[in-house]
Amino acid sequence: MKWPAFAILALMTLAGCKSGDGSPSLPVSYSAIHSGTEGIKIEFLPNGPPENLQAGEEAGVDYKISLKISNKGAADVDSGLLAIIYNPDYIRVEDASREVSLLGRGPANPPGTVIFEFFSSQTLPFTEVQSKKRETKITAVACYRYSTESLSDTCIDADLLNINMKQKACVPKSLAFSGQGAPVAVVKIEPEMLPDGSGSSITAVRPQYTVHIKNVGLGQVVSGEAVQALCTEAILEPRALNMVGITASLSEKGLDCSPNPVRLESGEGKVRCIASEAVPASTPSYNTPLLVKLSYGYMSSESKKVTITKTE
Amino acid sequence: MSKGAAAIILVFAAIAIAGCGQQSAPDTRSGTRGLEMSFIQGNPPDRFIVPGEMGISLQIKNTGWATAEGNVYLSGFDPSVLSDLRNPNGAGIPYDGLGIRGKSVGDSQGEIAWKDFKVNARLSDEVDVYRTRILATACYNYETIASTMVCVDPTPFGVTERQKVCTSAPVSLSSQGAPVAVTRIEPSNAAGKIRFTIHVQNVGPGLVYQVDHEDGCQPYGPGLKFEELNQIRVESVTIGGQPCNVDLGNNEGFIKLIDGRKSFLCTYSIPGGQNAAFNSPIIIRLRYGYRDSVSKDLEIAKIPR
Repeated sequence: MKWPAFAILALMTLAGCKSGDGSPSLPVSYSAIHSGTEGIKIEFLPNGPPENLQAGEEAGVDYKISLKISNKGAADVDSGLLAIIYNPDYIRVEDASREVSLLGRGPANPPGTVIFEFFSSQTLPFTEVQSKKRETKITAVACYRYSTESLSDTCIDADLLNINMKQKACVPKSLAFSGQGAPVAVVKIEPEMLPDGSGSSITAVRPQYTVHIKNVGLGQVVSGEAVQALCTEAILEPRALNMVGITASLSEKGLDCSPNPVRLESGEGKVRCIASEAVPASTPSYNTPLLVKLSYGYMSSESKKVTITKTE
Repeated sequence: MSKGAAAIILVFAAIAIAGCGQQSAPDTRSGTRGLEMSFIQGNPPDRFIVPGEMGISLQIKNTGWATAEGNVYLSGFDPSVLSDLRNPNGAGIPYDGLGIRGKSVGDSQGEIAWKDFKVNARLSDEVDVYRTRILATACYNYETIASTMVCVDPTPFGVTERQKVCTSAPVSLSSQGAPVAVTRIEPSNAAGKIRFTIHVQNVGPGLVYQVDHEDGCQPYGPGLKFEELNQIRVESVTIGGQPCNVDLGNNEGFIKLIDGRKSFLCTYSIPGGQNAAFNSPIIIRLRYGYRDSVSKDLEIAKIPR
């Protein structure tokens, strides 16, 4: 009988067919790429280094510091600095800092770029006769320029006092965000239509936006120009800490933002951006794209405790 | 003629007679809407990939009885994203004219018109997606004609026992094929005259404004002033072809709805020589502007790089 074999073959063929029209899946959306609160993420690979190391009285032991570096955010990192911070009395690391560049998440690479970096290092011999154990910490830090892009649709409503009785396509309202694929986020935007001109009748309005910014990552914010100093021995000016630059545009027209750059206090800051052109009062309400870009330096880090035991 | 043939002829005759039954005229003066608008499915689509030319099409149906005259406008979009909007009027304010007949005996559905707009859609380099709500607003002049029978009783308080054709009583009306309706007529008899209280209500979903004040209605204009809102012009009230004198105070022929309703009075002088009650048609004509709108959410996006 041939039909059982034919039936099995048909079933196998049908099982192999995918449901749907067979078209390739759509690229990842803008909102999916611009989500999350991380930039560079550093992870120690297992046993890179081991938690328990050894050293003798005369010589130390070689081992590798092995790192997995991921760009979990939406922005690219170009010429960032990766450095190992360690106790030079216990450990020596060769070539302890280097440049790294990683592309951010994108339609062609939704998870973001991942690289692996390896550092050769040695434990130093025990110079104290009585000492048999040392506990120390190895920290990997990445210092890099980063950016945040927040794109939303906001309503322009020139009927400030709502007296024109026009049917409105939209009304201005505050917008809240959870993350834009970066460690510094725009968390809230509050729109306000300010009357333009003077006199008893309002002839135009000028949109203003209060932009609330927050460090939602686990690292340190610094101005973009001073970020390298965080990972090197260069002097870091205290006033460079927690500084974030901002640019904003409404329907492709730039907004005037102040203060700029803004200093984050306890990780948060607020900027007011106002349109340079007024909107005539007769304009019907409409939605328009509001683009806010933040630029800053960021330091991400990860530490691992190791115990160095003296060998006999 | 054979019995079979006779039977067939009888069957056909029975079918013909059954099909001929008295046909009532279609009720064109019912309903609470004037114009009903809807976006044509797919035009615009829910999501449009830029750059390109996008079509926006509206179906506008006059489900009332009067002819709607006015314009329909598009608004709610950023002109830098949806630009060069073209319509039969050329560039400038995106609108198109309306002159749509209502239902009639010969057309129980009412006229349907289609309005097409074309627009160039584009996004700047920095914007990957744009979401908005497109609004289509119709501003048009409309009319309500309410008619019913009322009882004219010259001797409502007569002591003589006399059988009457009718007795004076309030009358409730159903819809009149327009968004503004006369809902109730209440008579109040006096010597030689009857005073009618006529109740009017906005029964449609839109906004009433003063007739011929479209400039205030349309979204690109200065907006409606308070004194133009909810104004209805009382064209005429007649009973049996005779005028019922309307008392509107100093409002120059207009009533103003409050919370969508208003009442006004008209006084009818009973013609001399009438001693017996009789039914007579009352016809109330109202004229006003009406604004109604429909919206569609739209997403404009780029193909991700």
